[in-house]
Amino acid sequence: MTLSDRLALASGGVALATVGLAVAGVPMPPGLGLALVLGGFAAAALLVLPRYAAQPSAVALDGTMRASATARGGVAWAMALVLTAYYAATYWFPGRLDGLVRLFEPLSHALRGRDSDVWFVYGTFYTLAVAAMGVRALVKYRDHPYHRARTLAVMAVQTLLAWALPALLVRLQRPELYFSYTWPLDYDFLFPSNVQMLRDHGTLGLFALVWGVLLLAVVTPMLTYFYGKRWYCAWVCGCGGLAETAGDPYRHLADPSLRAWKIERWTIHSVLVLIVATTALVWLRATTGFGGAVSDALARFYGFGIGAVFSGVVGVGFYPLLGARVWCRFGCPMAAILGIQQRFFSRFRITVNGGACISCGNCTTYCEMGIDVRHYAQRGQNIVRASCVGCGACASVCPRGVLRLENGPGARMGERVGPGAFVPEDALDVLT
Amino acid sequence: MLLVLGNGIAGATAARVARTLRSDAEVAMVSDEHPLPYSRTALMYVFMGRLRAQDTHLYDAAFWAKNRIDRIEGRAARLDANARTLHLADGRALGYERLVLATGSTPRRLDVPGSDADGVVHLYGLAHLDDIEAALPHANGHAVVVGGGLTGVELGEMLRSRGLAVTFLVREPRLMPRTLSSDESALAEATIRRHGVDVRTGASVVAVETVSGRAMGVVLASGETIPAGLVAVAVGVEPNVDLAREAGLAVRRGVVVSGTLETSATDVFAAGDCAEHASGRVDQLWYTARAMGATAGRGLAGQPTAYAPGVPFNAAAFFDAEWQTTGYAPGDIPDGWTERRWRDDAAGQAFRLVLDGDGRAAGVSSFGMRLRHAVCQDWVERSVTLGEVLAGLRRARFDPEFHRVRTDDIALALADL
Repeated sequence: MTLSDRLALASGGVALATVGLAVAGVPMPPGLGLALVLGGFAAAALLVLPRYAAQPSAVALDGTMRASATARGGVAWAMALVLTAYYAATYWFPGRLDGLVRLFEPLSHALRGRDSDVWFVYGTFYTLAVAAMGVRALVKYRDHPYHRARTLAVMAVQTLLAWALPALLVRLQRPELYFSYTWPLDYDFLFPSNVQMLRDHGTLGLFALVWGVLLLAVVTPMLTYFYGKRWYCAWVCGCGGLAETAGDPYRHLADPSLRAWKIERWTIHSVLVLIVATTALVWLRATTGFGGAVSDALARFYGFGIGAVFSGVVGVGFYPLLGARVWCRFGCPMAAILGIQQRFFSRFRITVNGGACISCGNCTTYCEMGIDVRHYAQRGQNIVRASCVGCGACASVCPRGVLRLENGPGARMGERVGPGAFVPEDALDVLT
Repeated sequence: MLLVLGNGIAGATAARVARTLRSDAEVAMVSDEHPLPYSRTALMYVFMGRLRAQDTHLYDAAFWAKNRIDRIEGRAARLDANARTLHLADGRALGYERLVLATGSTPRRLDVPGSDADGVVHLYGLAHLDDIEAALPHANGHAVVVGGGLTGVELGEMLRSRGLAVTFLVREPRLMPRTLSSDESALAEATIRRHGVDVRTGASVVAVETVSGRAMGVVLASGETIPAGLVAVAVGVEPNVDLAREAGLAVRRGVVVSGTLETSATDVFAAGDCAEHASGRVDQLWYTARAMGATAGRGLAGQPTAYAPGVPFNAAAFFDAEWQTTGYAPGDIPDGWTERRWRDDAAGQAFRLVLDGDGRAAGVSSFGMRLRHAVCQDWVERSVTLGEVLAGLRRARFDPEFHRVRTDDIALALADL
């Protein structure tokens, strides 16, 4: 372990200990406590930078399968425990976090002009994770312009659109609006209660409503047609932003098996059906008064089971064990919609470079969505998959330059591009 | 039964192709190495901790089961080509309708005193990773890699990833002179040096120094001794031909095969590292093994087909720098041919177009950039002119989006010549 590694551990330890003391009710000056928490976590994320800077190889993956933190060792389990505990407390036992919330008072007042709460703490932690681990990703991928660009994009969206702007709106006594999300990821955005709230807030509320609908109905199909779902999942979305930054060390933990793919297709589309049904029933109730009990129960279940447990506790809490895209892959209804568009109405694909694949498995292993990229690459077949978020990791880890994300007109839809005899055309297909 | 001996990329491909063409037949692969075909080219990444061993499997067990390709674990002891029977060491006898020999090769030993000492390691299969792992603690922080080919480069990268100081001994005056252009050799060497490897060209080893049976270093022809507790040898591979020779098949360096990859025995084919073409050529690349496996698989299914791999290509990585070639672009071009070269040392990139005696494209190679295989192949297949290559260079871009692509610079530079 290098000196900077030790310092990183120590910084993270100081931050965690401060959180622990605050939660335990030990009094401390909020300014100092906050500085220790935010500074400690940021330092922990950034002190690994010398390790990357020292490696000429831009995609530093050596030892991934051996390190405790990334190979489901004790460190990974401990991190998962802390994360899930924090999520559970935020959702269901916010009172337990009072001491931590108090640490954030100076920041909350400075930024929002009002008292801190668990959700402000959560949003700040989230943004810090995207920003600090984003800087780490920028260094790690310094020779990879595509990764730099999308990392900067998610850092900017999270910091400005999903943290600073909502805080500013609160300060201006306006509703807390998040312009980077819409229904169905923001699952109650189209619920009658939210629509009413927006309509009650004049031009800004109306703008938010119209923007949300446009984002879903116009922007999404258009951009997905030209660029694939990556424009959202790897460049804009907050969940994707966290996955691509804080979750970057955990890409290889996604299960690439056929069984996982089968489960994924059932679960993600079930969640989409569920939120469509829930939204429809909530509206039915609001307009006709019919089916109140059912719609209430469904809305409650969705908020608890999907919103909190699936996307939060499991989705982020299990990062160090299951990878960073569990929610995006198995649950997110927005990803389901984008995926259907990407599969059937998009020019995006991963092009395979002739017969150059050596079947090494780096692409499949480091696909955070658990796509068995090699299966296609070794057959010389272009890859068109609903779940691909276009992070570009497969293209970077490939040691023979076999993969390229493309959206120009041309070969698509699983078309074979292999150069004749070098890739057996009659390869068996186990996936159909 | 359609039987394949060996489950490397040649054997596994032969079995797959045979299954596709003959849905009714029994198809089986015999191997004593590993129950699931894996990618040898990925061994280095397992050692470096980037992949787990199971990540290198070409397909999972369910794939082979679903496609009814039996995987028989066992060591082949004797082939009786007249009785169409393969005898395994454990006494099992496997009768076959047709057979593909895909027995691969064995790393060549260094032919110098001390080359069998502890701490002298090779790289070909999974078991070799264990050897290297076991030798690490005795390395005293310094390893020597002997042999200037791709496997040597890979061994250098593997050992560097574990923090060892590595001296890379290359017998030739420059890296891979038969394969790389002098530009590419220079860039590859610079890349390897940048990763902390001490590259010595023109260095031949005359002895491995040992102390009580353990390697302590190597002695060069110049008299210099390089201390190293780990000596990794990568001086080529020799075809595994014992079984075929004992069975009475025609064997020279490899198992001799016809244009349809049939051996001298009826209904026995050979593919991959172990096969030798009638011309005497022995191809020992991943890509040629796969292509031969596909052809042998057709023969295995009862549809012998001429081995016609088309435009040759190859690709490799020198640490984080990629090299690729399509067509015929050897290190030194034949008399009367010409070549157009572009090189940027700061960017670590090079491009080369080889033109035959008529000034037509015969081969392309590039370093530090990605080119579209189909486009390069098309140039060679149609023997296009320099002008046509330069005009179409943009279409050959395959670097990731936002990468600074140099095709326009290259076209401009080469057109000015």
